[in-house]
Amino acid sequence: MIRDVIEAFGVVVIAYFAVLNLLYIAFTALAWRSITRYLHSLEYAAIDEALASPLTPPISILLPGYNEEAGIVQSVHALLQLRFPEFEVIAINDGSKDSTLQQLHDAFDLVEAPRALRGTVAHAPIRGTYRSPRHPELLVVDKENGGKADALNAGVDAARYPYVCAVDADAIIEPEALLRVAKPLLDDPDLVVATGGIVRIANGCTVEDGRVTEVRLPKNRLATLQVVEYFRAFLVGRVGWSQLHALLIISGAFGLFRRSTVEAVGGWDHTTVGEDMELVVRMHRHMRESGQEYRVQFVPDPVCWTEAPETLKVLSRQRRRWQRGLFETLWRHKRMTLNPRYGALGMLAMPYFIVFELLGPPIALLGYLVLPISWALGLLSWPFVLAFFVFAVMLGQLLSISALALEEFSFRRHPRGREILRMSAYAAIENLGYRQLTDLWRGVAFWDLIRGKKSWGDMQRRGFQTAPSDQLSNSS
Amino acid sequence: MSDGPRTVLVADDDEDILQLVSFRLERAGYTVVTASDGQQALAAAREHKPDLAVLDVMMPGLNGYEVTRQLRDDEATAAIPVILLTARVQEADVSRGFEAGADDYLRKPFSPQELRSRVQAILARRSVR
Amino acid sequence: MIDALQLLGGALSVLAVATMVVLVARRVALSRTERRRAALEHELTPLALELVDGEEPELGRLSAAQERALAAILGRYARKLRGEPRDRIAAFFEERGAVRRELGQLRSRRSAKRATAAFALGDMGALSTVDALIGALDDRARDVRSAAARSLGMLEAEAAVPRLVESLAGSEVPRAIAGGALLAMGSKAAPGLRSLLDAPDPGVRANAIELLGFTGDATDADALDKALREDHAIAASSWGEHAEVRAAAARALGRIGTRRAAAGLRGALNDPAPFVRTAAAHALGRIGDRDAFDALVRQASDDMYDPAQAAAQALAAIDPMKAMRLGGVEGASAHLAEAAALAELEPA
Repeated sequence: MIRDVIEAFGVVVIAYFAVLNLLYIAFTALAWRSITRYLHSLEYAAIDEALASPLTPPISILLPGYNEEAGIVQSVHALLQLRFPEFEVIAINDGSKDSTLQQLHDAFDLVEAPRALRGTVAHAPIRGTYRSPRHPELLVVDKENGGKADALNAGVDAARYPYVCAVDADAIIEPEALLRVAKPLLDDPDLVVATGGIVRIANGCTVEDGRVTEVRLPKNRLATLQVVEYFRAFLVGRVGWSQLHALLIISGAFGLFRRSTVEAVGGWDHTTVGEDMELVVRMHRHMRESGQEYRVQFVPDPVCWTEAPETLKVLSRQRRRWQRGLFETLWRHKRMTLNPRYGALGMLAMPYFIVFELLGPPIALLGYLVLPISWALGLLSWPFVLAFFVFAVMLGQLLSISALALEEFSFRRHPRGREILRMSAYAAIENLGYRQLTDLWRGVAFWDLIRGKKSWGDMQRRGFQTAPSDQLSNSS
Repeated sequence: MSDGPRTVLVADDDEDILQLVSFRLERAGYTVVTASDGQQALAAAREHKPDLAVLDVMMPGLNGYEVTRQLRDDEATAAIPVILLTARVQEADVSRGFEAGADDYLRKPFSPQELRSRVQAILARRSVR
Repeated sequence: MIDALQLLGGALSVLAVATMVVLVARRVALSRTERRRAALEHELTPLALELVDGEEPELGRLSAAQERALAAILGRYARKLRGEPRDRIAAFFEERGAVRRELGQLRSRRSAKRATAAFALGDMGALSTVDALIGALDDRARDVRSAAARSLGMLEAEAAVPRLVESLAGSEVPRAIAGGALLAMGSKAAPGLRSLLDAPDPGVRANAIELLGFTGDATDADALDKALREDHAIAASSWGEHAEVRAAAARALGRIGTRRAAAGLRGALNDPAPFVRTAAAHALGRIGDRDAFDALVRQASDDMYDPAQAAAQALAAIDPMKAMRLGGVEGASAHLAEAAALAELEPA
C-alpha cells in the first residue's frame, strides 16, 4: 500500500518537474522574442525625445513613508528631479513616530495649504496638507497611521492627475524611468490600466544624491544570488506573463496605475501583506468582469533600484511574507481559477501560481521527506535519484544562465566584464542550495498559514519596515 | 570687470552639447569652463567667477532652475547672467526660468551661432552699465 | 533511463558552459569595438566640430571605419542643432553618398534595415528624402513607420503633416512619436494641421486641434472657436464622441492664449461632458478672462471634482486677490480654499 503511494508520488513529482520546466523554457523563448522587439522599437524611435513632449499625460507620484526620517528628504529630492514633462510628487507621512514630517518641513519650507480631496477611496484621517513655495509640484500629506496601502489610498484621494505612480521610500528610481514606464499608456491610452518596471538590486552600486552612478555586483554573496534570481524573475517571468496578457504582479516599489481604475476597485487593500499583487489582480478582475478591453503591461527597462536583504534572517522573513501575500491574494480571488471568463489569467496564470508558486515549495519539501522513507523501504534506486537530481540542477542552471544571457544581449547594466563570470557562477549556485533554501522558507510559510488559519481574517496593522518591497518568485 | 578674455560657464549633461557650445564660444574668443551636472556647475561658478553661465534645464542632481536660484542667492555669484538651455516648449517652463532669475533662454535643438550672439548681447549690455 | 538522464544532464551542462563562454567572448569583443570606436570618435571630433561650424575642413580620404565614426558623431549632433550647422551636416551626408545609400536600404526586404535607414535619414536631414519617408509611413512594420515619423519631424516636413496626423489618429504610429514629430516641426506644422480642421473623422480632428494648440497662433482662434461651437450642433446622441474635439479646441484656445474666443469658452462651461468643462475652465484661466469669474465661482463650488478644481485654479490665475478672499471665507468649497492657499503661495 505505502509502496503504491510512494511510487505514485514519484510519478507525480517527475510529471510536475517536467511541466514546470517546459513552462520555464517556453517563457524564456517568449521573453527573448518580446525583449528583442522592445529593443528594436526603442532603437528606431528615439523614444526618450518623443516621450518628453507635452502630449504625455501628467502623473501623480505617490511616496508613502513611515518612520523614514533618514531618507525621506533625499527621496523627495530625487523624485522632483525625474525627467517627465508634467508631474507632482505627493509625499505621504503615514503617522510616523519619528521626525519624518519635520525633516520635510525643514528641507522644503512647508506651508500648510488645504487640498480638495476626491473622496473616492477610504483611508485613515488626514491631519493636514502642506506645500512648498519653492516646489509647486510637491504636496505633503500628513495622516494618521494606517499602513502602506492606506497611505497610498490617501495619496490617490489627493492626486490631481489621471495616473498615479506608487513608489517605495527606499527605492531609487532612475531619472528616465518614469518616461519609459509611461510609454505603454502613451501608445494605448484607452487600454492601459497599469504598468510596471524592473526591480534591480542596489547593494554594491555607488549611490550619489539619490541616484545610482555606478553599477557593481554586491560584495555580499546572498545579495549577489538575488541579482541573478531577479534576472529570471523579471526579464523572463514578468516579460513572459505580460506578453500573455496575464501579468499578476507589479512591484510595489514602482508601479504606474490609471487612477480611475484604482478608484473603481476601491484602492489598495490594507488587510493583506501583499497589497501590490492584490491590487493588480483586483484590477484585472474588475476589467474582465465589466467586459472592458484593457492591458496590464511590464516594461523591461525602467529601473527601480532597491536594497536586498544581506542576511539569511532578513531574507527568510521577506520570503515568508511574500509567500503569505501570494497566498492571501490567490485565496481571495480563487474564483477566478480555471474560469474561462478571465481568459489567460484564469486559465493559465492563476493555476500556475497555485500549483507551482504556492504548492511548489511544500511539494518539494515533501519530496525531501519521502526520499529517506523510500530509501528505508528499499524502493529507491540511488543511481536514478542522483541522475535525476543532476539533470534537474543542470537544467536549472541553463535556465538561469539563459536569463543572464538575456540581460547581456539586451540591457547590459553591469558594465564590468569580469562580473559576468561571477554572475554565471552564482547562476549555478542559485540552483544548488539557494533555491532549496527559499523553497524551505516558503514551505514553512505555508505551514504557518495552515496552522494560523484564524489570523488571516484580522491581519494586524503593520508598519513599513515589514512591508513587501516587492513580490517575487522563482519565475514570475 | 577685467578687459581680458571673458569666461563663460557651460553646464549640460550632454557631452555633445558641451563640445558644440565650447567650440563656438572659444572660436569667438571666450574662455570656456564646462560642467556636466548642477553641483559641478555651482562649484565651477564659485571657483571661476564666470562672466556668464549657460545652463541646461534638465541636468541630473540640480536642475538649471535650481542652479540659477542658488547662484542668485549667493552674493558672490548673484550678478552672473544666466542663459537657460531648454528642451521643453511649454510657456510655463520659460516663465519658471525667468522667475528663478535667468536672463535669457534658448530652445534645443539650438544654433551655436545664435547662442553666441545672445552671449555677446548680454555681455555688451552688462558692460555698458 | 538513467543513461538518458545522464546524457541529457551532460548535454545541458555543456550548453550552459558554452553560453557562458559566448557571453564572455562577446563582452571582450564588445569592449574592444567600443574602445576602437571611442578612439576614432576622439580623433574625429575636432573635424566634426569644424565641419559643423562651417570651416570646410580637409576631409581627404577617410577609411570606412573613420567615415562611419564621423557619420555617427554628425548624426548625434544633428539631433541637437538647428539652422545653418544643421544644413551643413545635411550637405555633408548628401555629398558623401550616405543619403543615397540609406534611400536604397529603405527598400530592403528586411524590416530592421528599413527601420535603421528611416531613422538615419532623419539625422542626415536631407530634404530630398521627404517623399521616400512619407512613403515609409505606409510600411508593414511598425518600427519602420515609427522611425519614418520621427525623421519627418526632424526634417520639419510640412508636406507630411496630414499623413502624420492620420497615422496618429489611426494608431499606426505610437502617439508619442507621431505627436512628438509634429511638435518638433513647430509652427511649420500649423498649415497642415489647419487643413485637417474639417476632416470627417472626429479622431483626426481632435488630434489636429490639440496639436494646433501648440503650433498655431492667434489667427487660429476663429477656426478653433468654430470647432468648439460647431459640435454643439451635432445630434445629442453623438455628443459623446465629439466631446474630445470640443475639449481639444478648448485646450488649444487656452494655449494660444487669445481672448477672441472667450465667449465660446464661457459657453463651454455648460458643456455636458465634464472634461470639456475642465478644459474650458483651464483655458479661461490661462487667458485671464474676468467676465468668466462668476460662472467659474459657480463651477468651483458645485461641479464634480475635476471641473471644479480647474475652475478654482482658473479663478486664482485670473484674480488672485479676489480668489484668496473667496477661498478664505468659512464654508467656501474645498476647491476654492485650495486655490486661495495656492494663490497665497505664489510669489506675486
